[in-house]
Amino acid sequence: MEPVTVNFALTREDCINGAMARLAMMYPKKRKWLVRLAEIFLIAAGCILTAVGATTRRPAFMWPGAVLAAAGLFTVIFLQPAQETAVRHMAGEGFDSGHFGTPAQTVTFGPQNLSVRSERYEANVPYTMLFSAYSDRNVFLIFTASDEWRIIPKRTMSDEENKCVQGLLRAGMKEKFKLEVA
Amino acid sequence: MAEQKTFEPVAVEEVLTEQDFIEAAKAVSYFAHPMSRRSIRMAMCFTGAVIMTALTFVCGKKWLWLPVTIAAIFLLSAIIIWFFQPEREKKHTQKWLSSCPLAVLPTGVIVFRDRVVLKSNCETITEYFTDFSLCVETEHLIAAAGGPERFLLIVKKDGMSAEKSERLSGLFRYAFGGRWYRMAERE
Repeated sequence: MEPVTVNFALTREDCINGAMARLAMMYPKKRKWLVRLAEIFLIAAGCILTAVGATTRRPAFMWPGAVLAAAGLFTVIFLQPAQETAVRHMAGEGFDSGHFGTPAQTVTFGPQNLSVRSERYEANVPYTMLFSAYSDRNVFLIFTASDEWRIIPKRTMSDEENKCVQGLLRAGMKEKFKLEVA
Repeated sequence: MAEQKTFEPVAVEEVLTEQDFIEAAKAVSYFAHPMSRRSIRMAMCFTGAVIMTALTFVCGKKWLWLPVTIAAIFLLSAIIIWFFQPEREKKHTQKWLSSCPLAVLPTGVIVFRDRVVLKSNCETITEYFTDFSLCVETEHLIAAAGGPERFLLIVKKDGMSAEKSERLSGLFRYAFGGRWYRMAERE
């Protein structure tokens, strides 16, 4: 496969997309479904207990049921949206305060190595030395350590280049590359 | 003239080990998060235990079990913190290090008055001291935390001449000012 080179300057939107991708990476779809199931269970159990308590006139059933239902509703309405809002806000703040490093970068995905050139960081790293990589609809995330990651926005490459980069990462990093299918 | 000499760049060749990272992470965490020190956490637990013990004197016999149980939990927490916190911190550092093979490559470090340049086979990183949050000097190394490219910067002093070590220390002291700390061996 041919190397793919992209030149870009990170924008605030890219940083937010990167942070959202990081969040999605931390909570894969399976775990999200488990949380959804737990929420449904909480609400269903709460409603059933409350209904049983109301029909049999037993407050000992009603109150725990109401608490369970309220907890389920809280997680559905607030937990995930609140987490996403917080991540978006923190990513925006991080970009404004320069925590995402130098915005202008040149990244080359080669057959064996990943090359990065920016004002303060130059690297030519074999894929085997990278911690992991992740791709979603908007960005590629390249991890040089568990808490060090670089955002490569997909807006900087054509569909063909995007597929080529995915192929290169899959070949170079094997199971360390995770592709989120939109 | 002597003042100018202090600002001459210092070049160091180093290969960092797991022990260096553990020492640096411990030193940085000690000053960056004072409330997380195990001595402080233990003191908080003991204070809680003392307050709960005092409450046993005003509780009736019926409710005596409650402050006694809470005091026991505080004491147990203090013991757990004392014995397990250092081990947990060490494991956290080891886990990070195992995820970053780039950090243990042989590296040439050049320390200037305002920045540091780290050059290994794979990376060249330029970090400005204004981006870091603090710097801690220990017996064996100087560690700075908060770099945008690599969070922990470590410069080893082992095997360095006393004059070079003093110049290096002076550069960091000058660059970090009030954010520079020295960690005594016993801490």
